[in-house]
Order: sequence, then C-alpha cells, then structure tokens
Amino acid sequence: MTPLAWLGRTVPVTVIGGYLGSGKTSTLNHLLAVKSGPRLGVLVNDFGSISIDEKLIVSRDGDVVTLANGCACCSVAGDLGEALDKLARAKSSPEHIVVEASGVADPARIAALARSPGLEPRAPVVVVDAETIVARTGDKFVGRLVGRQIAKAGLIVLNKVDLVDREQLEAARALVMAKAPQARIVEACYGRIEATILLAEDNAAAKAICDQPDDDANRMFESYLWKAQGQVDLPALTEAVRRLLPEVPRIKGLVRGADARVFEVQSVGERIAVAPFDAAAIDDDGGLVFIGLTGSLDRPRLDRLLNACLKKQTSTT
Amino acid sequence: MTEITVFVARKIRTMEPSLPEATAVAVRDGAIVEVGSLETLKPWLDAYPHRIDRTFENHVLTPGFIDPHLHPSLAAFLLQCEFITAMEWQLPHKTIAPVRTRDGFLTRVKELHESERDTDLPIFIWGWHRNWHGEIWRADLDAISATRPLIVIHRSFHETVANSAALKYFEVDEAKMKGAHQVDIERGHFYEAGNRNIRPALTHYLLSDQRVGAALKMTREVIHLGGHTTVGDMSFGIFGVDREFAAYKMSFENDETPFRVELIPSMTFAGLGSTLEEVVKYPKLNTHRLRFGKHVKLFTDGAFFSQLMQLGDPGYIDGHDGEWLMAPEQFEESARALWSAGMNIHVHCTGDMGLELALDTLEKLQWERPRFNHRFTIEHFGISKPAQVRRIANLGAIVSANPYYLYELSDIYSRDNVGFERASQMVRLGSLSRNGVTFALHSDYTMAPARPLQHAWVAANRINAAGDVMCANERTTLDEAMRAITINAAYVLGLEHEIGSISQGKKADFAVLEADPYETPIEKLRDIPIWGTVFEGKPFPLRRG
Repeated sequence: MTPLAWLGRTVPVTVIGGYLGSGKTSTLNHLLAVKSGPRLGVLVNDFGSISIDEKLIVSRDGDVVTLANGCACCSVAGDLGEALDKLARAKSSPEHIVVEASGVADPARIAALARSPGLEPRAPVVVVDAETIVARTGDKFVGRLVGRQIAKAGLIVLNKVDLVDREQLEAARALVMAKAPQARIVEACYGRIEATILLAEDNAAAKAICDQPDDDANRMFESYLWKAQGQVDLPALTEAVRRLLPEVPRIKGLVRGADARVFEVQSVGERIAVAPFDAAAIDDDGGLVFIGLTGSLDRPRLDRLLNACLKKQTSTT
Repeated sequence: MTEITVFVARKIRTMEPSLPEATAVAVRDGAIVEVGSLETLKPWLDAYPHRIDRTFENHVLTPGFIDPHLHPSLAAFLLQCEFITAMEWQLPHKTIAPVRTRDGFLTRVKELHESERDTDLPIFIWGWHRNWHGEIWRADLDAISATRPLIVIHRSFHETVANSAALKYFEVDEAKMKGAHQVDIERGHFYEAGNRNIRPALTHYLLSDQRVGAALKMTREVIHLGGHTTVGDMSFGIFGVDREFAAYKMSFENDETPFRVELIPSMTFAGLGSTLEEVVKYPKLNTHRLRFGKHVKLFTDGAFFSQLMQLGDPGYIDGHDGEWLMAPEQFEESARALWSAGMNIHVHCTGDMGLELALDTLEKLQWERPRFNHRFTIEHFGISKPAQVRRIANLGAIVSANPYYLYELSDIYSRDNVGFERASQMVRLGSLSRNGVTFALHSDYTMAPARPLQHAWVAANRINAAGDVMCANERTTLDEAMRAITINAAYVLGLEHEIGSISQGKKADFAVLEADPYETPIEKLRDIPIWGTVFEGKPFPLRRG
C-alpha cells in the first residue's frame, strides 16, 4: 500500500473558509453550478447542505459524486489531508480543488495541508457575513477565531450585503480591512461571486503571512499614501492601478476626476472598480492608499506612475 | 436455585454510608444477596444451600473499580507498541520503568531490537517526549538497525519518526516527501498533518483483522489489571460503530472477560460519530457485557495534551489560541436535540472557555426546558475558573475528571504554558467537593494509565511527577477519592442502582485488595497491590507475569 501516489501534475487548491453561517456553502453551490471553467474537485464538510441537482449527477463512486460538468464532489469524514490526496488522484482528475473549511477551522491551516506533493495551495478565500461579523468578532467564544480566520485571507467575500444598510456595511468593511490589510475584498449576495475571480485568487501577500506565526501578521505590511495633487485622468489612473495590482494586493482611495467630481477607486479581486462617490467626502484632491508586503512597495515608481495620470491643466498652480 | 456463595473478607468497604464496613457478602447468580457478617447473613444461609468461600479472608474487598471514560479501541493500537516513557506504566506482564534521558531512550531501543530475534518484524515504540528524551531522528534509529523497521511515536500521538527500513517497509516514497507539509524526510519525521503520509499504513498494519483480536485481548488484561469491573468507552466507534462492535463482541463477550463495557457514542461532528436517530437504536445491539444506554458524548474544545484547550483571558503565555472541535452554535444545537430527547449528555471540556460554553448552553437548556436528574457531565475538567464551580453546582451538572493531567503536566505547564496559578489548580476537585458537586475520576486511557488507585492517589495528594504538591487546597479526602472510582463513577454512567457499591441486589463486582485503602497512609494509596477482581460473583485473579 502506498499512502501517497500522485499523477505527476500539480493541482491548485483553494480553501474557502469563514465562520458558521457566513455563506460558504452558497458560494460553493454557485461555483458548482457554473457550466464552463476548469474541472473542479470539491471537498465539503457535509453533503447534505450542498444542493446537487440529481439530474446532473453522472456517477457515484463511494463517497465521490461526479457531475455532468466534470466536477467531482467528495465529503470529508476524518482526515482532510488524506481526502485531499485521494481527490487529487481521483479518476475525474480535477484541474482545481476547492475545499470547504469547517466553520471553526483556521483556513490558513487547512491551506497548509495542501503543501503536499502534487498539490499547490492558493491563498485562502474567506466568506464573511456582513450582517453579523462585527458582533461575531466580539463574541467571547469565537471572537478570536473569527478574527484569525479573516487575518490570513487572500480574498474576502463580504457576503449578504443585501441584508445590511450602508452604515453596517461600512463598519463591516472597516473591520475586515483593519484585520486583513492584505486581502482583496469583494461584495456578494447569496455567495454569488464569479468563479473566475474566486479561482484566480492567489494573493502572494496572504500566502506569505499564512506561513507566519499569528502575531507577526501585522508586522508584515506597509502602506503608502499617494496624495493627488489635483484632478486625475480617470481612464489613465485606472490603467496605471491595474498594472500595479500584481505587486500591490490592496489599493483604495478617493480621487477627483473631470469637473472635480469625486470617484472611489478600489481593487476588487483581480479588477479595479471605479464608482462615483459623495463629493463632500473629501475637501482636497484625495489620494490612494497602497498596502503591500513590507519592502515590496516601490514608492518612487508609484509616484511616477500615478503623477503621470494627473490632468496637466490643474497639476501645477 | 443456584447455591449462595458467601465471600468472607478481612474487611469489606461497601462505599455505602448506611453500612460502610462489613466482613461477609452473600452472592447468588452474579448478584449480591446481602452484605454484613456471617451472623447477620444467617436468615439467608438457614433458608438456602450455601458455600462459605474464605479465599479473601486476608484481603479487603471494595466495589469493583469503574473507569467511566477510556478508549479500548485506541488501546488496541497502543498496546502493540513497546513503551519507552518518561512516566512509569504498568502493563499486563511488566512494569515500564521511567526513561528520562536521550541516551536512555536510544539504549532501550537498541535492547528491544536485540531482544527481538525475527529481524524482519517492525518494532513500534511509543512514549517519546522532547522534554525528557531530546531529539530522536532517523539517523539515530538507522544507527541501531539499518534493516529492521523502527517506528517511534510521540507520547501525544502527533509525531512519528521512522528509520530508513521503516520508510521502505511502509512504502513511503522519499522523493515525493521532499517539501511535503510537516514532513522532514531527512529526519524521518512526520508531524501533525504530515502524519498522513505514514500513519494510515501503520494503522492498517496494527489494526488488521489478524491483529485486532489479539490487541483487544491485551486491552482486556490492562483493564483487569487496574481492578476494574466496569468501564465506559466514552467515544465508541472511533474506527466505525459496526466494525468496532463486531470486534468487541468477539473479544469481550465471553466468560474470560471480567468486566462490562458501557458504550457511549459521540454525536456527529466533522462527518464522524452518530446521529440521534442512530443513537436511540443502538441499545438493540446490547449483549450481556456490551451495553449502550442513553448517554452521548459531545465536544467543545481541543486536546489538553496538545495545548489546544480554549482558555479565556489571559490565555496562553505564548499567545497561541486553542481550538473548538464544534462551532458553539453546532454544539448548542446538538446539545438541545439530545436534551429534548431525554439523553444524558457528556461534554469533553478541557479549558475554561470550553467549560464556559458547556455551562452557558446548559443554562439555556434549563431555562427552555427544565430537567432534573439530567447528569449533564463535564468530562476531563482540565483548566477551570473558581467561579465556574458554583455554576456547575447551580445547574446540577456533575464532573468526570482526569487527574493525570495534574500528575504529568502541571510541572511543565506551570513553567512554560499557562503559568503556576492555573497549572497548580488544574482539575480543582477540592472546589467541587466544597460546592457539593458529584465527581468521578477517569484515565481517558490511553491518555493516562488505566489505574484507578493511581488517580485516587493524585486526587487525594495532588503530588505531580516532579514530586511537588500542587495546590493542597484542591485535594480531596480519601473517601471522596475512593467514591470517585466506585459509586460516583457509577453515577456518571447512570448505573448507581446496579454497580459501584456493595449492597443487596447489586452486581457482585468487587476489587480484591491486599491492603485496606482506609488504613494505608494516603501517600501510599497507589501502591496497594491488587489481587484481582470478582465479576458477577466469579473470582478473576490477576495473572502474575
């Protein structure tokens, strides 16, 4: 008996974590319903909660269910590491493995289980319930755990945003940003997040801190504030920021575009979102905050790239 | 009608306050007819044929000891290992002397290798602990044998070290282990999750159908050796309920087995354990010695030996966090379902936050649906806060404690882990007594030796392995310690009407001792030799190795 055999290829492994009730299962259900994309192997805690359309099931092999779109689904009973190895070498040969972490697990620790031959751990994705996250992080039993889950995330899915008002949403965002400066944040309802965003996620900064002891996480980051000296050329700025994304995981700020209108610019997963914002929010020309691994921010280069986006007529006074 | 047998003893400690001492006990069909003296038993002896058995006239009888929380199936794995341990362990045919140095450890491995002639057979060694034995790696084991597979398993079970022969024997592909998580193949070291690269092959080997029967027989001897006549398997079905029940039936349901096993399944979590629907059907499987009842186990926080218990402020000195084994909401949901179904709930709680969750939940359930006589049991009771003890009392909960934590870990934990105040007060039995909380003692075997007198000794003396008295104010009296391994252990299992004391109508289960615990200096309690046991009226002397 060989406890570990693999096929000589490397399968990326994305762990989806988050506390009980945050919407991990909805996120997975959404992912499984996608018709195109890579063949997924999905490890779930509990089959009962996954909604698999019986018509789509093409085979059942022990505890592995194979769907018409090529995805295989397997429940984890017992040792997760063994289940991962088993799925990686399953007949369906998944191209990407997604693991639903238990609600009380540290997703970073689960991701570490994929540091094994034939597997390649990606930065963890953590689903956060926008409605309850503030209360949860103060809970006497799970407050520390929920904070720890968020702290090492590569991508945070701020879920159930339809259930909260603007104030609650901002509080949830602020909390998540404070706890996980490296994480990209996307908002979602019903766990609906584009499969491409979720599967492409591989935040290098998050992966680096996953390897660190818990308390060192905050010391790993630096931030840099670029102050805008005037109105910006929005398309040019968007393009500049997009080019920076691979090296700077988190970018956010308010700037003035044409006619001094205020826009919010932020990194959303792999993309840049630009949206009109309340003009009263700033009384200067705003700026952008860049957050990255300590030592990774090339400040002169950032200045050069961004200053080039300032509109000429207002850049000097 | 069967003849009455009267066992005459130097002293019988009945553990019943109404008649604490006696000298004769009449037994028929496995049950006690009456306890007292030959004079007081006279009406029975005049009425029925009887036989006076004087085998124990120089011995002291107590109720057969009861360990309400151990794990026979895990023992079947462990007992196939050679023990090299920092603490003394008594095994069926030998006593393992403590080994507390690296040289001592390696010398012992060498001796084991040289004494086992069949050089192809793997040797499994359990008990390695860095605090005592330092680092033991592949090269050290290769130096002892290049050809015989040698496997060293850490005392906590969380680490494995294999020599080159063992890697080959168990088909570990070394090339593929380079860079594997929590594996250091150069050192032959597999730890935490890295164990998955070797442990399945070891389990497969040790618990194969050919070996498991013999392994459970050894488990039977260990249980007998402690003077037990009843044990609780407090998480039955670790390797699968059906498979385990079949194996137990084969090994324990026979006249050579001098004890019964109460089977307590765990409620489902993380895909393991049983559902409530399954739990209520299990009693249909019951045999004479193997019995399910209405007891179910739940879990709150992580393992005490692994420092994964959940601690409230100020937490661990090194700042790490404990773990939840179930989310608090899931725990509450499971507890509510069991509570409403009238089940008796046992909760694994090791740290004070684990305990807090159990108590908060119990308080909610009492508010929603009050129950009396519910026997909600706190299992292990490692670290707690003083105020929690009064809550345990107020809510009507009881405790099944593992005093071996204090014995083995209080010294280390006081210096490195949680500090002296909490480490010295772990398993605060004196507080339970002052608050009128019923408590029992358990071994959690294989976490601690299955020796009730050892655990009663720790409870009454609070002397740890380093020889220090840890918090004298949390000691129990001798009588409380003895009750905790007899009648109160029966109470924890819901069997106090049947076992746990020597009284008319109860099972004729006795521990036969060479000395009277109540006349032995309390610091010598654990040294009292055990002659053997009587199970349902039949004497079972210990086999002298």
